[in-house]
Amino acid sequence: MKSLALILISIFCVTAFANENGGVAFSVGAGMGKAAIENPDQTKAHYKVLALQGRGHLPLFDTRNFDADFFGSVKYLDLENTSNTKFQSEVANLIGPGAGLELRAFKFVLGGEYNMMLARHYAVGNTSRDMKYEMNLVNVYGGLNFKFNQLSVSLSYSQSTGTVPKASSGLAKSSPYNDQIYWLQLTYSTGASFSRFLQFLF
Amino acid sequence: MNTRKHSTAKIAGIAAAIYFALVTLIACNNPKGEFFYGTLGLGDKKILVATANPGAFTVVMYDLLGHLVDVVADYTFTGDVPRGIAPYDSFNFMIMLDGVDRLQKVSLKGLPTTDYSDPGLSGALFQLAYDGINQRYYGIEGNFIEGFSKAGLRLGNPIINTTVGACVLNTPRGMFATNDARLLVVGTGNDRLNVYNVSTTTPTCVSTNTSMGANDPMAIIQHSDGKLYYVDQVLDRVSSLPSNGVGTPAVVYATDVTVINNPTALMEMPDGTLLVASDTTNSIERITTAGLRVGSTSFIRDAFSGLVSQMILIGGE
Repeated sequence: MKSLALILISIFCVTAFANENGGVAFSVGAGMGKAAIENPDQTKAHYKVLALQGRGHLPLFDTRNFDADFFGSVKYLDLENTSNTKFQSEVANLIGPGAGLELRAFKFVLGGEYNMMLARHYAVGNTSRDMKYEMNLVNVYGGLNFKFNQLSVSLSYSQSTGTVPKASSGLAKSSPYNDQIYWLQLTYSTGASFSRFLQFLF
Repeated sequence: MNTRKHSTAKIAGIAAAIYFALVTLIACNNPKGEFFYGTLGLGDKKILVATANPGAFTVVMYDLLGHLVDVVADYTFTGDVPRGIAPYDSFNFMIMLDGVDRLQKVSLKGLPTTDYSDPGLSGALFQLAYDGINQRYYGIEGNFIEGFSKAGLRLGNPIINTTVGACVLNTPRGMFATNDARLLVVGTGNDRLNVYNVSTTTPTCVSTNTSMGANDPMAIIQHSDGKLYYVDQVLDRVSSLPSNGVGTPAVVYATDVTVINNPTALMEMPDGTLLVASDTTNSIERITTAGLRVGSTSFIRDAFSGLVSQMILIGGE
């Protein structure tokens, strides 16, 4: 906990004095892709994924061609099993906060993120029940970023991994989760450093 | 400046086109698979009940509270009678069907079934037992016991004949494979408990108990307390024997024929209580090994609980 506080304080100190080329930024993103959870017998449940995400970026290092941001995020994933029939279907919703680091060089963007997701799975049909659990997701992504003045558009690909705990699923072992999502992200840069942004707010 | 903006827009446009092509590709290329077993609750133990009730030849799944979960197999239309069921793994079970005589592997998740038939498997079929140590199935067929590998291959011809040493099969109806490689078989023709050693490919007779009285023993299990429990259809009782199956039975439940009447199947619950399928009352009753009924009503009494041929626990491992 102390180390986390130190990291956050360090980030805020750095961001407070980062120059104002792009500054504090906010982004929203939507994505589509696929996810899978592995059952104990190695079979897999496959899902179509619709994803939404909102982020607040604090610049750590900010130049014309190279940026490094710390960001906080909220991510929502909607999963629909690809084997759904009219007799049995399964959907899941995952939502949770996260934090990460993003690097941009010229038009390339690269990042890593850690999310704490609250998940709910629903089975409807011959078997109807629900299941709740918490899952930590580690997410890496990369893509292209195009700037249009204060607005920029990112097209990126992300991969996340996590584990559905056996204590929640009741299964003999924990179940590995992974997803691959293609994102379209719009970012608005305020142009203000973190300290100026705080002055503007308060 | 304008040229640079146009160039950026052009690159963005190309990237967007590639991006949406990839998204479309993914949307069309997402494979089908299973459901997540955790969501379906397959991590919890379930009770499977096979019924030979004309008009409802089914295998029905209940939770440990006796609530109906699903009809996992229905043979009413084909007229195949489910006579015996045994576990295959946490998510599949093996069933012995009388009609087009065969073994069938059935998935709890609705996957296609797999049939295992053999010209040697014919005649009147009854309960099925699984020896997890040697990974073999044993099924009652007439006055024989048929053996099968886990892959569904018939073993022996048959694996246990009518007479093996002192053990004699006469109208066998109930069977149980113990966790120490013994096969317990009770029958209504000679009212015996035959105990076989099935640790080798040619089973031998360990003992035969002829002191059960002419009471038509129908089903038998080895309990986690070490004793053997069986039900009979003449006096409608539940009785116990020492773990070696030798000696005079002790009566466990002979209390009320409005509760247990014409019992057909027996199973131990995870908490050690016994489930007894009572045909005349079309119910499944729950009693303790001390002979006390659990609750004041039937554990299960519904459209599927008549003429139960076998009950097993599955999953949650």
